[in-house]
Amino acid sequence: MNAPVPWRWLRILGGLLAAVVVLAGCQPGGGPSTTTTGGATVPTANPNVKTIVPVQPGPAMPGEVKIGFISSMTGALNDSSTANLRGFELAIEDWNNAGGFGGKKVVPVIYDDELRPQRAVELTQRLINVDRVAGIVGYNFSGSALAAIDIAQAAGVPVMATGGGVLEITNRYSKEPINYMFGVRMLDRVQALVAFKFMRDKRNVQLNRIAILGDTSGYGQQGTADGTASLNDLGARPCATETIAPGDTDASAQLQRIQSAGCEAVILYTLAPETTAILNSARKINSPLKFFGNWGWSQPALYKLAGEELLRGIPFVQSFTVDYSPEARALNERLLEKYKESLFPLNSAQGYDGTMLLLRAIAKAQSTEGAKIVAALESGSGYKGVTRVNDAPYSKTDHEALDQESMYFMGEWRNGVIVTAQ
Amino acid sequence: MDIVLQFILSGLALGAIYAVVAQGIYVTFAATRTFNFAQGEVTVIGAFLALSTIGFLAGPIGVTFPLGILVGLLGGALLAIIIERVAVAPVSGGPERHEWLVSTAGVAFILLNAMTVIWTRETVRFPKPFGEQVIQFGPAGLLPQEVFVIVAAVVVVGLLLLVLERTQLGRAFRAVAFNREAAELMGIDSRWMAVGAYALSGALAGLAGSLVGPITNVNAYMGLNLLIKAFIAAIVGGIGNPWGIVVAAILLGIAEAGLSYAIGAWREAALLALIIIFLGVRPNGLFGRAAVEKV
Amino acid sequence: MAKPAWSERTLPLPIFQVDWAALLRFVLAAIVIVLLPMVFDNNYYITIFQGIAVTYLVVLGLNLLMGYTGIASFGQAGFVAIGAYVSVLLGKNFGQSFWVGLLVAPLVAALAGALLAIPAIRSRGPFLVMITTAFGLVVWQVASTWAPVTGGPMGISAIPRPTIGDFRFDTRAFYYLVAFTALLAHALVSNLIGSRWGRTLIAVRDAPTAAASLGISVVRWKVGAFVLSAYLAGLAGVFTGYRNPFLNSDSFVVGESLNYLLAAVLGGLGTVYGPIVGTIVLSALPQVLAPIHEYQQGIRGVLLVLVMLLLPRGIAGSIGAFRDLGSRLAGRLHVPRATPWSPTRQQTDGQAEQPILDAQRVSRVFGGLRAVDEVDLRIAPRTIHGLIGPNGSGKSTLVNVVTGFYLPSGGTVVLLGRSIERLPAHTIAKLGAVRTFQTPQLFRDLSVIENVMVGFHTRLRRGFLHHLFRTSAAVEEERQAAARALGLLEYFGLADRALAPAGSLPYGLQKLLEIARCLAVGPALLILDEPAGGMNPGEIDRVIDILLRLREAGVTVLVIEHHMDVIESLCQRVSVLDFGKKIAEGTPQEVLNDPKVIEAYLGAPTGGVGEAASR
Repeated sequence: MNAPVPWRWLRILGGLLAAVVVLAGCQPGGGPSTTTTGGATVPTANPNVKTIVPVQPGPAMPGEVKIGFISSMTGALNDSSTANLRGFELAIEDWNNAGGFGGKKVVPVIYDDELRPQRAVELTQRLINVDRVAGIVGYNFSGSALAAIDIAQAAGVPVMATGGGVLEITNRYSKEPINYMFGVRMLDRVQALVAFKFMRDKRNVQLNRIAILGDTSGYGQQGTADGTASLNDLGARPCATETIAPGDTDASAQLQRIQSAGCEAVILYTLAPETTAILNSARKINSPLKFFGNWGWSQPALYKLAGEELLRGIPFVQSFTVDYSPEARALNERLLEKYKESLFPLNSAQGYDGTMLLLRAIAKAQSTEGAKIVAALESGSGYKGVTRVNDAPYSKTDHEALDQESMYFMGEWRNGVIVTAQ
Repeated sequence: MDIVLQFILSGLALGAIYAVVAQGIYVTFAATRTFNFAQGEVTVIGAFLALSTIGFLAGPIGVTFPLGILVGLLGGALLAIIIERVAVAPVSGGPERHEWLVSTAGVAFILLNAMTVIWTRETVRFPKPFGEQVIQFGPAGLLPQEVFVIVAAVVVVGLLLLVLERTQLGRAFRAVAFNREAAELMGIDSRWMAVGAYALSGALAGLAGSLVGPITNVNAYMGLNLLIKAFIAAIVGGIGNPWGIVVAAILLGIAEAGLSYAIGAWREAALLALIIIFLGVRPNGLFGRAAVEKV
Repeated sequence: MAKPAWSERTLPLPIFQVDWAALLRFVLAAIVIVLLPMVFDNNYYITIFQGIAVTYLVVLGLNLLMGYTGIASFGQAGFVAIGAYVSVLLGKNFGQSFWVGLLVAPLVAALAGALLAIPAIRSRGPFLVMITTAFGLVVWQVASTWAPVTGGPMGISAIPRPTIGDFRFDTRAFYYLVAFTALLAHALVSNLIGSRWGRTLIAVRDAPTAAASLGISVVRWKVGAFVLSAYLAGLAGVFTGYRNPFLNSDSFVVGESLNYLLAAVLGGLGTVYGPIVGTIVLSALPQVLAPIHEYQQGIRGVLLVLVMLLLPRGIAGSIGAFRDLGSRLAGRLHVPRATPWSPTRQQTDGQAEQPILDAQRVSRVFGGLRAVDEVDLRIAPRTIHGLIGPNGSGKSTLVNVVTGFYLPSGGTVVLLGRSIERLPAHTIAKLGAVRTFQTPQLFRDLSVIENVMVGFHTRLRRGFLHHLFRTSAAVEEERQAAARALGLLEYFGLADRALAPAGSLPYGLQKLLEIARCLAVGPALLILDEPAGGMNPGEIDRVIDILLRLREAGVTVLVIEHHMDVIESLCQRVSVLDFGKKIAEGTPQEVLNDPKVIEAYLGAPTGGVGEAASR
């Protein structure tokens, strides 16, 4: 029975191979040179690189300034989370290239919550109590954010949410003396208003004939709730509400039911793969439904997946395109230069601006104390960023930077770029 | 009625994929009483390999797609052989032990990570070799790739069953599946049978990946869902019965599409609850026969 | 694997006593729990310690289920979710405190465990994997879809911290609460494992058929293990629900169940310290790997594979120090002075005239094959009755029907005046018909003496709570059982092997031990399936000697045997089966010279059966 197993060498080779794949990949080719200190990755200064926005060197600080980043680089939201992270990394790099704080570099500390709320709680504790960061950026996954922000609020550490669209993050502590939560992200509630008004005014769709189709994850459920609330604000109700499970490749059943409810148009709260599946199903059953969507549709992956033909004429809410301003163009160039791909520029832009706003507030407050940073954030920034953040993004009562209807417009894909929808 | 036809057709396409992956679970389980927890990841790697081949060759899709399938299939087989040698054979101590589960789950983590490093975290578009013109079947329609998947699954599963039932190799395989000790006494080397079964299951997974790619596109994380669905098909079919698995896979696909229509978001919960109840009533699956316990 | 130290111990040894070593370990663990947050005075570390304690509760239960009972569960996160939601919703919707939730929610989870056990214990291997996986997925899906109640992925916010009066459990106090709950759970579960409970579970795992043949309801015990593991997971759920002010369905995805399972296997299934080792390793790993977030998943995978390659029985199962520390045999069982054994009243007290067993026109059909065909079998009290016949003549099938392992296709079976043909095997064993198996089915991982103690199962009265809290009554009962078991082993000449693992005995002694184990049940009818099969002549003489002594003591025995010399020297009456039919019955001499019998054995009416059958 226990004769020598054949191919012992193969077993050893396989083990080595597996180890090599994982370990050797630790230095991806083409990436920037990095040095590791205390578990954090620090971009080394490169004087030849122009910064994306003009950056003034910050004042000298007692001790190191550390900024934390938490998002879900593993799991279903890995692409938007990674895009977010890249914006964060570029902002830190720019800040440090401009001289950091009195010549000392900002130290980024980056963790992956693996799409697990409890992990986000642990890592937030770690950022605050072990790494002792001055602020935390990220939380692209709302489940993680909602579970973890209590810790930051209790510890008085500012959080800059640069992903997701859940209002509760910045709302939960709005009654507290100091609310440490801030956001630079596209808010679902506001976007939905913009989108519904556009459909009513430009596409002649009755508000009562708009259906909502969201995925069953938190993203879809929150979108569905916000969409419904926005319709209610406009005095209407969804004509039908349907769901699709992440990973499904067919939505004909849902579309059939939406049609038989007498709806004309559908707003989708789904990620790129499911959006593509829904559009394919619509074609399969020859559906007359008109589709429209939110910021998620600006993801380049959606364009690559669904293709021009499926996306033609479908309007979606936008606030940012890679070429609408010199800053946006600069960010896009840097992303392509450093990471060789355009993962999700909008999320990178939010990550960049959120990080910059935080760093500028620290510089303005000349302190890493949470309360002082919050005061600095709430007192206007004079910052012109990559997204449409204005020069006074926050106030005592307003902790969302992108919350004006005027910041949004309806775009659509044409020949691989997003243009304004008419 | 139109709707019923549509979800039967959509369910067939889904079920066809589950059937191919589930046959991979069947062959390894039959030969070794283990299965590869990383089967889902092998499937996705098959899709990525096919995709890379198509991109690398940059020829007309009619030529590169079959080559891509071939590379996906061979890559899956090679990968599965390595998995069997590294993570299954050295640790598996029989059906009631669970070491192989941990080690193949470990392999799943490794492959997942490797995919995001080697390929991408994004969902990647897979070219559509047969175009995207919907084929109408009366009031219902299917994408050409879905039709192709159904046809390919029929051919592949048919070939597999033919080999199992008609060839010397297939007989040896079934002998090992039936009684490993007895087969060994007859001079069949069950270790080679295990390697072969894993190679075959890897090939089936790689093939399924390259077949499903044009429908689902490719994402490193889509393996777990595929594995769970294929596993359900394999179990409900009564894991020792390849024909039962085909029937179960198709039923599962249709049930999924039908429940989607009937109860929307509650589909998964209802489907799984039904499966628990079903297995409570028929603990050996649809076509599995309860072995009379030899005392 | 045998531990020579055990068998070299001179007997008799001191009786059961307070387990000072265990008590010391308990106190040490308590001190460590108290000191940890003082040494690592930081909310991050305390959060991690909380996580380890919560996870440990789940893994502890899973080890009981997988390690000791042999039932793999891929759905423990489902029970955790039930515990979490029930307790939190009791608080949110019904204004109940954390403490009410702590009492109620684990019970709800346990109930769910009992319900799930119904389909689960009927299935095996991959089917079981499927059912438990599906369960975990169903709970998660319901939690995430039933948003109006559970909040779904958007969750429930502002869950209050537990309080007692004015005292509010902050992160640190909550850690102490969880950690001491986990320690208490560990101690109680260790009590169980070291008691009749653990012994019975291992018996059910190692040889369910043999366990049933000794009067153990395999189903009931498996359900019990399921319920207990679900309770522990539900308990962990309550703490999961109240750990953070926020709870959502993403905390209960299928990956969490897999994590619990990995921790249990990584630590070492069926070991006392495996769960804690596995939990710590699996909880610490992500913390260590967190800074290299891009590769942590792959590295975790490599480590899992490596551990399984290098330490195939898990960390605690492969490292001697851990294994011995938690071994049931080494830690708990001090063998007492033997209580001399002799057949009890029940065995010898058969009503003098009535047959012990009266089977009439019994049939059993497999497909088209009539394996047993209208056989009558009547066994008089205080006799040894032989059952012979060529291979495949239906002897074992008849025994399986009589002992309840097969349902008869027809006929009646009466044992001591009670109709038993529809009763399950374990009930028939309780009523008095106990059997051995052709190939001995010992509980390999139990010691020799514990194998016999399992035989006392039907006579032991102390229940779950006694063993859980290790009451003096339970300890005393165990002591007496051990003493009687040792006496029985002396009767069989096996006493010097009392502490050796049963699996390490030579084949002949395994068969003897099986007979001894049957006698522990106190049977009215002892059924032996080829007791001399595979034995050498010396061992055969030993069996004959023991059976003769039993016959003198008045035990009724039915024996299937191919060795005709054994039949001739033991049996008063012999029945002969051929092709499922009874072809002869009488004294050994009558039967062995019956031409029909000779023909059945040789295919032609020549020669004597004796030479042919004992070839």
